[in-house]
Amino acid sequence: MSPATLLDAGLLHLLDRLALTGRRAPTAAAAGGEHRSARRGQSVEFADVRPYVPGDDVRHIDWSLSARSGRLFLRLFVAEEERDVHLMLDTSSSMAWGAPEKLEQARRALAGWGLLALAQRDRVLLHTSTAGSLPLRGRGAFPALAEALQRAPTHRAADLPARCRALAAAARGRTAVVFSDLLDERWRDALLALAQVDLTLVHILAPQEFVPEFGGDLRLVDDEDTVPVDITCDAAALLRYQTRLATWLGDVRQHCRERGITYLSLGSEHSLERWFGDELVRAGIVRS
Amino acid sequence: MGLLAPAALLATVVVLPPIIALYMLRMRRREQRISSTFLWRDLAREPVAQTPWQRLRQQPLLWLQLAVALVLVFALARPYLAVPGVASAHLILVLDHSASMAVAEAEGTRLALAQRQARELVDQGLIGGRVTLITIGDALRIPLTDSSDRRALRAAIDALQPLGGSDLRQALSVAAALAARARGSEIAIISDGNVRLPEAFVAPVTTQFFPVGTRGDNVAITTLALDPGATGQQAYIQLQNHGPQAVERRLELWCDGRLTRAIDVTIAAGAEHVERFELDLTVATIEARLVGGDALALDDRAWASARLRGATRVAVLPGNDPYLPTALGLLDGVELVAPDAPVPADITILDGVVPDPLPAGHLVFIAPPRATEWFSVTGTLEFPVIRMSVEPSPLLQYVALGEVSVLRAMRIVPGAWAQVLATGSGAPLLLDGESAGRRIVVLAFALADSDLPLQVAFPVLLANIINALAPDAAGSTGAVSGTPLRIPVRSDVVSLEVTAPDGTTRPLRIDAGVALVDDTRTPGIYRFAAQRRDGTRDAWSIAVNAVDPGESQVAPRPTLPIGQVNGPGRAIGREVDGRAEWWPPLAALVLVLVLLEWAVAYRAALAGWWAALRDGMRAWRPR
Repeated sequence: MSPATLLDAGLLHLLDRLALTGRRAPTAAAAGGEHRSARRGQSVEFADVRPYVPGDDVRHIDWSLSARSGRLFLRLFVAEEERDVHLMLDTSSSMAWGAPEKLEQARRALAGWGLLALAQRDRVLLHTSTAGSLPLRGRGAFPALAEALQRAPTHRAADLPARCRALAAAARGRTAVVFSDLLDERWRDALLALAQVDLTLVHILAPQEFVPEFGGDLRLVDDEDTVPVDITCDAAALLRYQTRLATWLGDVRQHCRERGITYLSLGSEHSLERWFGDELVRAGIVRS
Repeated sequence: MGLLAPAALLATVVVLPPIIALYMLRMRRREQRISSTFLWRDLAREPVAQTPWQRLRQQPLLWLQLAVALVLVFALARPYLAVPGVASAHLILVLDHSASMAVAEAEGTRLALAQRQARELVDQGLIGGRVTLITIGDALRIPLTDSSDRRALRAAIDALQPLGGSDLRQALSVAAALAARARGSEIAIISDGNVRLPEAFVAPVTTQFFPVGTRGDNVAITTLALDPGATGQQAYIQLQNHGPQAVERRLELWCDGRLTRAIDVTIAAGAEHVERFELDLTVATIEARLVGGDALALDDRAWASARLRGATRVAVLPGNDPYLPTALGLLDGVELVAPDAPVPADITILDGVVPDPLPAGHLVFIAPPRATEWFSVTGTLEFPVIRMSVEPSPLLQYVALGEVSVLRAMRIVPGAWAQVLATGSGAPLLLDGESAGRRIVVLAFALADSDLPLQVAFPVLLANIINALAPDAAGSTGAVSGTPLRIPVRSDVVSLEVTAPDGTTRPLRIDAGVALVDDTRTPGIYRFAAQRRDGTRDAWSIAVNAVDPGESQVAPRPTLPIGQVNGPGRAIGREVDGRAEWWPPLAALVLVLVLLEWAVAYRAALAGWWAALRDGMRAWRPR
């Protein structure tokens, strides 16, 4: 799977100019990453100088300053460490709905986010129902990411809290991004399970979920083996539904705010170029 | 209250169970796939079950729909209230619009009240039936027969104007004939009761009388005449107080459009008052006016014109009877001419002969020996005893034929044109009528076969005949407005035109010696100008008065003395057997219930709209 089949050229070009920002210092890792560390270390970004003490790496002596001052000084650099980014795709059957389909939009958004992470040498761990937690590193791993996303099937009666608990176990203290519509009555449990994770929630909904395009006497069914709902979908019922939807969205936002979860909304019909290039930049998630 | 269609109540059995069943049946819903039912579950009104039936629950919509169905079924049963009126399969409505119906009552004119009553009766009559409308006034008319067209019936009723007299005789004959033809007929008469009734009439069906009007105070000019004298003319004015109290009114006399005399007159209740005024010979027309108001204004003005035309030319054939020329020679305004005169006579008396061809002009047959186009002669009568008709006729005014002995008379079988004025041995002895523009009088016996020439009645009868047939027969007191004027025209007249009281002049077509003025709705003086073949011109005028003298008696009558086969024996009144359907309140109730049902069904949306409207008003309100 090539990046071009999942992400179009315009979005790829945009993503080349963007980089993820990090809010929390990464822990020490074996390989050097592009995230700044509070510790001084080996990287290309100059941080400070200090007097040389025996045992320091002589390669980092600032010879010009030492020559001017007559004392040996050592150049210090920002320690750049590798960061783990856990990306989880909600593959419940409710995601495979809408025009455009929510799951397809989620795949593309996750691929874009993963590409940004891979490009700055973060370790990406993809969590889908089939991939488990697939570790990927380096930009060259993007085709594998794309292929894993494409292979991820939808699941009836997907247990969102259970999947979130599994993610929490793998990503405790690290960064995780969940792409989901949260259309599960246990959505609070799912988010609470990720309390120990630096979580960003990308909440994806289809336009038909804001303005239903049906009416009359209906039996509403979904693919998640829930009980059907009989309803007369008239103007009054639509009004009640939209009130219920607005209340629910408010609850989700408030929950995220109270628990330090970064909440990002994404409509399945929205342009990802604008989402990455404008909204995520404004939100401080990425920088150009 | 009753029901016109009680069988419709059975519809309850048909209508109500399906409505209830619809509420017990579960709705078969269309399946709609969505992403998740998570957000919709709280909005569902009932849990989903698999059985097709559900328990009937208390729902306002159910009760409202049942109420609508019940009211509609009840309306289908056509409930009605018993009201004064009619209830029949065929209503024959006789509506009086004579001049006396112009009386001003407190609630409008008497005619307006009658029209309102007629519309109500039409509405009742059309409940399962049909209506025939007969109007009496200036003429007997039958605008609609056996009709169910409510709009046309109402239009015909509303178009009536107060005109003419109130002769119910022919109307009742027509109504009786129509009633006999259609089963379930009923006759309703709307009038103020001042009508001429047939003798010994027995209505074959139920007949009701709906009287209108209350006022009886009226002073009328009953007679206005301008009679010539030796040195001048005399205006004769007769007033009649028909009211219950003495009244004082001012009487004005206008001569040729100028006020000439004015006097105050006091007339006792029910009394007559006569005034005479001597006038010059130059006065051609007079008008009398009663100043002040009463119930009927139409009879407070009257017109008359002077007789200014030349003598009536009369020929007698064969002319060997000694009585006729002698009697004719005594009459004023009669010129005896020879039958073969260059200018034909206005009236030809055919004494015992029927020439072929018949002469022009009006004809008086005496003992015709053979049939003509107007009558047949089927034999002779021996010693017939003369019986005079009870019908009034100008020919029989001041004439008593009962004393006349007749030896022999011809047995005449007249056509439909003829009015029989006297009979003997079951055959007509004196006929009068008009056919094809000719006035025809037939006396069935020869003067020599009777003692009529020796009776006082003879010259009077002859004078009446000449006056009736003379070209200026309309006379000085003229006719009643609304009635067509038939103007006998001299045979040598080549053109004739009339100027109406409103000043409009139009030519008249002369047909068989008669000119017809069909529009006489405007009362006043109608002036005629004729040009003879020799170039000389004649001018005369005819007065057309608004009211038949009989119409001035305006006091209404509560009953009519008419017998009926299956009703009251001597008088008819108003019975409470009409039906008034009361569907309008039922329709209003259904409308209210349907609106209520709509409001209940959409109450949530209505609440939302109301809230949005309220918010919008708040936002709009200036701060």
